Amino acid sequence: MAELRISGVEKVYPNGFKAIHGIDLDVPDGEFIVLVGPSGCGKSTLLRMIAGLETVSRGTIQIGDRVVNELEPADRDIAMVFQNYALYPHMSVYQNMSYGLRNRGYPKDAIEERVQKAAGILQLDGLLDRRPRQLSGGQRQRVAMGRAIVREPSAFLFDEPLSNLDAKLRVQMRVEIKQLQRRLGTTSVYVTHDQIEAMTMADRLVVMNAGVAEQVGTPIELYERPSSVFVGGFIGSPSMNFMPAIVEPDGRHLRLSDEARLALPVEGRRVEPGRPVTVGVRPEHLTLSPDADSALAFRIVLIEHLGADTLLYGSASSVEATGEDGGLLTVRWSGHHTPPAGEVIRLAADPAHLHLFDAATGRRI
Amino acid sequence: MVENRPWLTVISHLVLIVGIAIVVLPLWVALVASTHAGRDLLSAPIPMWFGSHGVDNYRQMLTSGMQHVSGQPLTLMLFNSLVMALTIAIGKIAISLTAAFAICYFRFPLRMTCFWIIFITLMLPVEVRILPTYEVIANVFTPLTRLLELFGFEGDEIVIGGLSIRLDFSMLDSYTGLTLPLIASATATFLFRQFFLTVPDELTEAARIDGAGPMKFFRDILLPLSRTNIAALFVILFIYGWNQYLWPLLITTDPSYVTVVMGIQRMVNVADTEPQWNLVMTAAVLAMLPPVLVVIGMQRLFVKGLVETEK
Repeated sequence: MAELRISGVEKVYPNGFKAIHGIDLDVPDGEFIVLVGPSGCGKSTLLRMIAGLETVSRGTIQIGDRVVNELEPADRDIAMVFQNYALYPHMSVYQNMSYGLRNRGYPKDAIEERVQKAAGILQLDGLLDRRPRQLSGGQRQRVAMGRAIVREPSAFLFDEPLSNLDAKLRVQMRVEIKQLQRRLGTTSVYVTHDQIEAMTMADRLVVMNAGVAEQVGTPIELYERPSSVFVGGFIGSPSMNFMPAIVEPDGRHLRLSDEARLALPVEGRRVEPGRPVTVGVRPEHLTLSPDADSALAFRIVLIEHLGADTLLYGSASSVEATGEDGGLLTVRWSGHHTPPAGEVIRLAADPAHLHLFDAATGRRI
Repeated sequence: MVENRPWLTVISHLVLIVGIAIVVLPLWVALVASTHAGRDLLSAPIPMWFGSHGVDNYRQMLTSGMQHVSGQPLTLMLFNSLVMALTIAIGKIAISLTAAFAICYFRFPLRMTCFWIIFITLMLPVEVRILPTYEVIANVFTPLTRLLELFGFEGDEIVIGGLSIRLDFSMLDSYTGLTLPLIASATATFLFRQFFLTVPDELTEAARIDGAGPMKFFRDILLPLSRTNIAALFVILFIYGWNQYLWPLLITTDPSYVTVVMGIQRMVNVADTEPQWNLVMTAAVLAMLPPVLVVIGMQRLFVKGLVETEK
């Protein structure tokens, strides 16, 4: 049990590439923190620096009250779960789980007790004599977890532990890992590129982009007040719609390029007129507009029925939507709707749920 | 591919049978000849079925050997060969494993240079470097004296404070001389390196987190994982060592270091008389046995080591 403190950590590779541009993060004791971001954003590098598998170029990493920068991974009092489990293929489950304890010179009966306890928690009781190759993916995952928890470390580090599992098992293991962490109360750092995994598991999230922590907060904070276009687009599925707009002279309205006017949200009234902005609106906050003048003309291209929700994809007449979704806007309505494809409907956005970002920097206004 | 053409089946079987006959016939002749008396083999039709002198031939070869050629019993030669083959196989594996471990898992200056120097020696088997190697084995200090000559020192003695050291240490006629020059192996180093490269990095990292130092990692993780590779190499290297001919022929003159392969050659090269083919064949059959036993005994591991990809 310990808190984890990361201050001013940077990583520069010998070839000059700067992977991490100075990150500060305090993880209180027992918190489950998730590092999330697209591949290459430095989240795994940061985790590996905490583990001691990568050197720290600048700044300090503190676990409990020790600065661990110069310590060997084994001396940092952490345990790590790897993406491909990294079980020792020639050892039985029992040997896999006890290897770390044996290396640390624990007495035999203490090892036995801890392994049995962990096996009980993880429902591995009958499997202790098996080899990893005789186990299913989910069981291997549990053994990897078991190897971490027998050590009773100060912190767990997870490096995309679920990405090798199939979708159904992933949801199940997600719940199990979260429950286990609650039960043990161990500080955990979890790396994933899957934003759903991140949202569902995290006490707090760190959204990383190109070696920078874009935003740190609870999942709901990040969802409701994304600090940048990047965070807004990354968190939430389907992702947020972005449209370029200009603040009208009255400072209370936004004008999209097709002359559709949207009411400016209250918080945005500080914005000076004429300023170019990027307006973000989540798919579920676009509704049918009763008022044809101040609405967005939306031509339906494709409809997806998810059962509980209906997703409409379409182009907003002359609005040039930005983002990776190919210029399509997404609308999410709860319930079952069957508007014909090709139809043009008028949409309005809830002013309270409009997000304004600076057009140049992408930061929240 | 499934095809049903009768004549194709006939032809393919014919080819197989001829192939097997070509391989097996000499072995069969050797086996049969080793059970006959010497004179039976000198007359025209070579017997194709077992004779009655088998027990005598084998007993004679194992206990006393051929009196007029060196007179060493075959047991001694077999023992020498065994020592040589085992030392070479085990020595090569031990050195290659550690060399590959160093090259793959440690960062030290000139790491890749070391690897390439080792790799280049692939092009220099004993047969190519036989003269210089012989000179070094005949006197281990040869390189040093040559170096001293370059700087103008002559002779083979160094005097350090009243103590005179003669630079003369020969490994001719010794097991060390028989095996040492053959132990360094680029092939095995390369094979182990390739295998180590396929071991996932995560395994190394997991071991580091589990508190295993480099040597513990080597012993607890790498060695057990290389088990099948080691077995496959052992079979190949054992046969390589057992079949050595030129090198032992060159550096041993003492009859007590004769290996079985060169022993057979001596039995055939007799002056003034016909070689005793029955006894020569007996020796050949006996010389064949240990490698065959090694192959049969380690067959399962051997095949596994060559084809296994599971990590």
